Amino acid sequence: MIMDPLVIDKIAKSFATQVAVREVSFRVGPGEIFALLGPNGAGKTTTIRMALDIFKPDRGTIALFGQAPSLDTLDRIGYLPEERGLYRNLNLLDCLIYLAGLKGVRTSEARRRLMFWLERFDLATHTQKKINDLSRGMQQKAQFIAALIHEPDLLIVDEPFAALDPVNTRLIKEVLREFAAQGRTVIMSTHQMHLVEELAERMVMINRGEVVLYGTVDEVRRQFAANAVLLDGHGTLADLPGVIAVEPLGDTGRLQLHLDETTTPREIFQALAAQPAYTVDRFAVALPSLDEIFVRVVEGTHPAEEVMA
Amino acid sequence: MNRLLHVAHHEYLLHVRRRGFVLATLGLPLLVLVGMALIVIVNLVRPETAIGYVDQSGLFSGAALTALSDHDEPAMQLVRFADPEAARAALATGAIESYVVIAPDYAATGALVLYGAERLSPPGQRSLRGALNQGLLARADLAADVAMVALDPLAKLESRQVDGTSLDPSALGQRILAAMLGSLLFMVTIFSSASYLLQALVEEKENRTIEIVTTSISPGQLIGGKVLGLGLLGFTIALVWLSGVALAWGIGAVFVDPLREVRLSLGAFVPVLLFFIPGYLLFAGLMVAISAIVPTAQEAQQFAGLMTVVAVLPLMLSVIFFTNPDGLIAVTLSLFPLSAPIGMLLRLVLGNVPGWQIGLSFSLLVVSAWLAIGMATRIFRVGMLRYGQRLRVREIVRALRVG
Repeated sequence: MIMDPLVIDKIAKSFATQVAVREVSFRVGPGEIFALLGPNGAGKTTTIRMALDIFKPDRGTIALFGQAPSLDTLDRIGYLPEERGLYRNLNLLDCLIYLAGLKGVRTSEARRRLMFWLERFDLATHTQKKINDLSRGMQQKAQFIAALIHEPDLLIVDEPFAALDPVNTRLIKEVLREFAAQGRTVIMSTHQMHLVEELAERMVMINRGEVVLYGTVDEVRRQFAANAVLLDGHGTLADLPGVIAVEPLGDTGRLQLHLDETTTPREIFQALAAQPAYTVDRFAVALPSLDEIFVRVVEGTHPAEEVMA
Repeated sequence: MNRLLHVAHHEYLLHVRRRGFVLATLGLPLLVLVGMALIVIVNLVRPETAIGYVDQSGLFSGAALTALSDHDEPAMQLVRFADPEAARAALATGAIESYVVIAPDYAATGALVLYGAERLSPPGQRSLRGALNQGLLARADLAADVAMVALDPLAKLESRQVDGTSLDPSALGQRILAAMLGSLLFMVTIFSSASYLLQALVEEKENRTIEIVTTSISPGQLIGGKVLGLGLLGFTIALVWLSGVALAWGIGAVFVDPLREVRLSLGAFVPVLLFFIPGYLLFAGLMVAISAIVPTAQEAQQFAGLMTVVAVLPLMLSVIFFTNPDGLIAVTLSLFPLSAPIGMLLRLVLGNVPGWQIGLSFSLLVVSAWLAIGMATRIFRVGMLRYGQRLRVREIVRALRVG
């Protein structure tokens, strides 16, 4: 039986008088890309640090690959922290070899693997440069390499796309997808919601130290869906029973139809099909973006109790 | 263990390759070698074969002055001239290399003037001094054997214990030299290593690398690796310095007699080695704790400076140790763990320290080193992620209690 890479059960952590994590539980399954979301100061980084045994939780339990966190389990984890950290006075190659060695990779093996990754990340010509002399984006890529050089089973990346241009963002996305395709697991904490929608299968959202959303990304979006449909088409649209408002979306020609509480999207679709003067090109249930959901949850327009999966 | 060694290897090579380290490490031995070369050059000035003298005082009108020669030195000739003109002529022909005019009021003033040279070589000076001494003593009409004793009344001074056993008169000086060298060795090794350790840990904090590192190895492995690597670094400095000094001394001893007479046995350094490891571990522990508590290198150095002052207090108060090695201050400083390595070393080489005091001092040092490393590791866990913030006392106490 394949163990879940990470199971967090009712953990809590306080620093002096400040409660960082009140009660957080979630599970991350093998081979998935999992998103850990939340506003600044919500307790995401503290949760990650507890999962990595940097901090001990005041209460609750953490299991990494079915065991309590230890150096052995930590060897199976790669970590890209939010606070990027490399040895600024070392050259790129020495720095990465040292960090690989800390994860138990022998120098000769580290060199071999680094040749591949440095080439892939377009850093091969900068190996003798001091970290301090590299651009922020290059440092970010170097840090990413440091996180996966020991070929971990679980990769935890905190804001992996910060400071990256679109080309490098695409590269990191590719690597994360490949990583998951190999049966390895990725936990990704980011504020770039469109990338979560694009990459993650499941997510947890923490606010003020508590879990406020948890489930698959699709489920969460459906929970927040208003009773509305998106419609692309041409011709003359006659009045439809159950539609209380028709809202044009910009200049795209797309319409959002707001339905009354008793009408379902299926009924509207059937009604549209019965209209000979209007041809439907595209019909979809209107789902809010994660960005909208994030703002609504953080601003408290949707009580946490109602949205919990 | 492998990862501890990986950290130690990395830290050692990282620092040993730095230009500043190379300059600082080789600087002192080079300076000593240059100094020794100057001493040798001065001593290599060829001693005179013949010096003239003109006795205007009449004190030495009897027998001609005879240069006394050391068996190690070639004999030098003293040539009497009736007047300065004759001496000058001899100087011009090269028969003599310089001449001294003994002033008429020499007995009252001791006035002499040297012609033909800026100064006499050390052997020349010794020969002339001996000859003048002998000449002056000859006027007292002493028996030959008394005159010989009068030339150097302490020549045969022998030191004995009160029970009659023989003592080496040069041993105290050698012990003081050993104490000073030992203290220097201790200071160089321990303070350099501890200071590098402090710098390395604060750099981890400032570089934000600590989060990566602590998810790869345990705080114990990280601290252990750094303590080992940087301890070896300090040992390297001490080794280079000692080798440099020994080399310079060896070269100097070939040419300069007083250096040849000083013999230092390795046994004199045993106390240094005894207190070396726990002493270093105590300082290392303190540096780890400081680096975890304070946010910047500058603040860390200030705290470390305070520790260093306490450690070198015995050296600053060395007069008290030399005059009263068993007094309250010397005993206290040799028992207090921070000052014990240097304090006890000074007392050990200066006198007889009761065994129980050595044992107590060593035990206190070992226990405090163990506590320091243990507590530092606990504080480190909490403090190293507090970027830009100092740990509060309450947090330190909590870290020590909870771990």
